[in-house]
Amino acid sequence: MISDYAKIKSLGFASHVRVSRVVGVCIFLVISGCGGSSNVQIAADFPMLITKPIELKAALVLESSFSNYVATPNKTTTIDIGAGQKQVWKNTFTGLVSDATFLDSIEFVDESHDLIVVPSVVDVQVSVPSDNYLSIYEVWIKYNIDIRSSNGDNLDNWYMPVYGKTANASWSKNRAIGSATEMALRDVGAKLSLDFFRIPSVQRYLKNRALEDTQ
Amino acid sequence: MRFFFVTFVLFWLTACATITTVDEYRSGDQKISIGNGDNVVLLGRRDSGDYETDAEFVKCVGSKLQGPSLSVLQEQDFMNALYPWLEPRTAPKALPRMRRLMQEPLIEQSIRDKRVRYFVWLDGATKTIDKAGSISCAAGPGGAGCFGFAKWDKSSIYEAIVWDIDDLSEVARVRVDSEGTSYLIGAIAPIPLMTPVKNDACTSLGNQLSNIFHSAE
Repeated sequence: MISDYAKIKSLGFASHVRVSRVVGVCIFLVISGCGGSSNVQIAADFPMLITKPIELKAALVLESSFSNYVATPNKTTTIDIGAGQKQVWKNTFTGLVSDATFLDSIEFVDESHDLIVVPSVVDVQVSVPSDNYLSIYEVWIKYNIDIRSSNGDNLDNWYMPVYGKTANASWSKNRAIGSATEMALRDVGAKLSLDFFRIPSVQRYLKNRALEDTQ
Repeated sequence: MRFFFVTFVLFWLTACATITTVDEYRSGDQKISIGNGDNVVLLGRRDSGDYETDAEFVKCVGSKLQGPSLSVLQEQDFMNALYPWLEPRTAPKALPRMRRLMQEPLIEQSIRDKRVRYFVWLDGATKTIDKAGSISCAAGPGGAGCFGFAKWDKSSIYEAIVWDIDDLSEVARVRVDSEGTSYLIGAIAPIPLMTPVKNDACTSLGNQLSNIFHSAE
């Protein structure tokens, strides 16, 4: 038989252990909560381009690895850019060429297309205020654009980095990285509008095609 | 006790003051005329490497400028309508580039559709220029408290440049320079004495801009 005193003592000890566990869990939650991991989802909400499209039939191949791309620029940050970049590339090519076809795989491309474009993500980098000693969050997305002729020959592998930043120090890390990533994706439209038809290999190829058509 | 209270109230009332200077330049003596149904759009400059004009400041100045005789378009809506020609990479830095953009029929039409008569470019940022003091907080089983004193100086420098889209010329420039010190006193509870430097810059710039426009009825 345990005496009343011993019972009270053991109950006191049990409650002390329980309080210690609760405090321990709280401390763990506080520490893990301050760990700074970021999971950012970019929604597909990008506008159409206002540009005069060039008379051209182009196929834009957006493979599933591109359309579902989740970037892991460092071990504490993931950015789901798949849906966003799919839309921004589609919108951009709809504005750039008169007849754009969007395909999931290069296998579906036929010779009726004048130009075949296959973008892929090479790297995504993020810089936060603790890295750059400025009050800005920065995101770089580096693309490789595999550009092919109508018969599938590779014309060029064009390296295209895009950049976005946001300077709102009062925002949470997730919101700031999300905003910088959206700016970087908007830069895809700006960069391609300015540069795509100035890529020397594309310019040369289209010029030769136009010459062949006139002959 | 009374002496401390009076000192504290006086400190409270005098400490959080902002010094704001507004400079204005106009190409003519007259106010800038805006037709009935015409709009103004405020756009932030975001091409600098180490800062950008934040969208909240642009929105704040827009809300000060908006009135019964002056309609201000939302920056993001207008940027989307003209995408991608107002992105940091493509936005016109000067009037020759704007004239070049207006030669593109689709861009010109889009601006005309929105009935935008004036672009107001806002460029600047709010920065912490100096910090001093320290404050530390501690918590224990018996309670928690903060002790110490910290202060920091903030500076807001913004410039607004007004472009007339009809004749593609610069019609006005307003510069606002606002500076102030904020304090944080740790006397068990932390007591913040914040100086609204950015808000003051926004109000001053918004008021000055609304003074230079007038409705041409």
